[in-house]
Amino acid sequence: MHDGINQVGKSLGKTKRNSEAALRRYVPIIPKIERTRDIFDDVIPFEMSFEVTEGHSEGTLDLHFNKPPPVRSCRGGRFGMCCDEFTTDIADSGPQLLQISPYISGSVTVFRNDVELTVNVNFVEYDHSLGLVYIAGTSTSPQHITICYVRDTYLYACADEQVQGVIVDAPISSDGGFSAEPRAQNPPFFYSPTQYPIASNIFGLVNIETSTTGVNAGYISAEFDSRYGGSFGTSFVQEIQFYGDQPNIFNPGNSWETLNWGEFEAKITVNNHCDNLPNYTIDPSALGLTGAAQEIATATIHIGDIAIGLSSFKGDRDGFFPLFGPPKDPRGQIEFFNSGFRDKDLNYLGSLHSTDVKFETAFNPGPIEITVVVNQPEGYIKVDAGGFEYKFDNPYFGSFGRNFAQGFYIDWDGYTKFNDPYGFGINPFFFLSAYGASLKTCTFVPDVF
Amino acid sequence: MAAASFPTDVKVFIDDQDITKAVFGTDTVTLTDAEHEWTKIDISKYLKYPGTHKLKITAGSGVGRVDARVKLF
Repeated sequence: MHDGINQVGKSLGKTKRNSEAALRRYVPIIPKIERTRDIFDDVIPFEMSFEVTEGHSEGTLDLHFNKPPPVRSCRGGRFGMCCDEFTTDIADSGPQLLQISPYISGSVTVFRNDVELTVNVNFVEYDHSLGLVYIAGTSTSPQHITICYVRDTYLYACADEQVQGVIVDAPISSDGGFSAEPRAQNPPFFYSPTQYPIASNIFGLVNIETSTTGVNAGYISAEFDSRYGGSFGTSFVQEIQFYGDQPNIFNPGNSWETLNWGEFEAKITVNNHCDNLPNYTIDPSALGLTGAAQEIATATIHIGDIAIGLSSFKGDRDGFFPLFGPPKDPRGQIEFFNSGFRDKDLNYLGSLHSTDVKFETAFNPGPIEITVVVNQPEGYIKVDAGGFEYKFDNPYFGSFGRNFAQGFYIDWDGYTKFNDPYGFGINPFFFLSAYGASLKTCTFVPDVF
Repeated sequence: MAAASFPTDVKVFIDDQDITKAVFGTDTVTLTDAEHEWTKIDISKYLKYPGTHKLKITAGSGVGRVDARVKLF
């Protein structure tokens, strides 16, 4: 009896062990690993998918953040520098002695296949005066090598990141071209045909200009309007494109009036070579910069690496002239809000009545000009700029000519004055513009991160 | 245009597309410098939901490169 129960107990125990063994969760000896890498920014997130199957009870997500690899622009995480790229033969994994332009000692950063190398370990600044960089060999080939460096004693800047917001305007004629020499309405920038023989500008376009006296100008222009000549070198501007419903492509020397109106974006692209380009100095005093504007304008800028004077701006038209705000400034947001003048189809919505035009900025951009032309007797413009608010009722009774506008200027301290209109016209339109200095100092520090 | 600065305010999202399509978890990784060692996040809590999980990393600003590695044991 006891033996039988004992046998049953043993049998049950064995069954239990077998059952436990059968139910034992399988644990992989080798972890399952999924991996991906990519570039991400505030617009495009990083995304990946991974599969989870039964049998895993533990898991970790390892993230390693780093700077993006350099690219052929100032946006490669090394602005303020030139970057030259080399690719070896497919079987060449050996050391490389590469020559770039003469560079400042200690400014060289080398990437091999997008991986940053360590100075004096993987590479050596062999001879800065000759621009030689020695790079140790590796086990892989071919080698794609990117060398970023600071040349000479000059600073390097991406115009789109370092120089923005300088806006020079010019009256416009009935055919859509400029009717007079381009002008900068007020300091901080002025136009001098003698010292700054630039061509016409468009609003928002930022540029660096040559100088016949050796003193360099502080804004960038492209040779839009051949009527005014200009010495802006074609070596800079590769292409100016206007994207929109009626896209245009401007090459240096093309005139302004070939632009077809419409909602558009502009993209100005200049060449991205580091060599054989002159250097320009922004002289704050020559530009009339004061205060914060002067402080940020003290920079020597070499337009070497890719420089996009204004990477993009969106324009709207009011039957005559585009309405757009200045480019976004790296130090603060500048945006124009146009509510109600035109709908999304550019249909004219009437007067300025009950319409606010709001100009917001997070910093002092210098004088702000807002020029208003209306053909309705009512309306107001409200300017809210960093706490200063100005409301302007009933700006004018009647219409104005195309070429000139009644306007008022609002300096940052609130100083306001009015200009008399120069003429009258028959076509209703309005025109708003604003400009401010937003030059940003470049530093000699090769890596700003 | 994105500025040439390192990402800030980085958030890590993990959801499960197969089951709920909801965001299961959010972790914040603080980035203060350009170079970072591996940051480990325990995702064991998601393993009870077999299927395809989605990892999403967003940045408040800046541009960066991320190398993501999911290890399951």
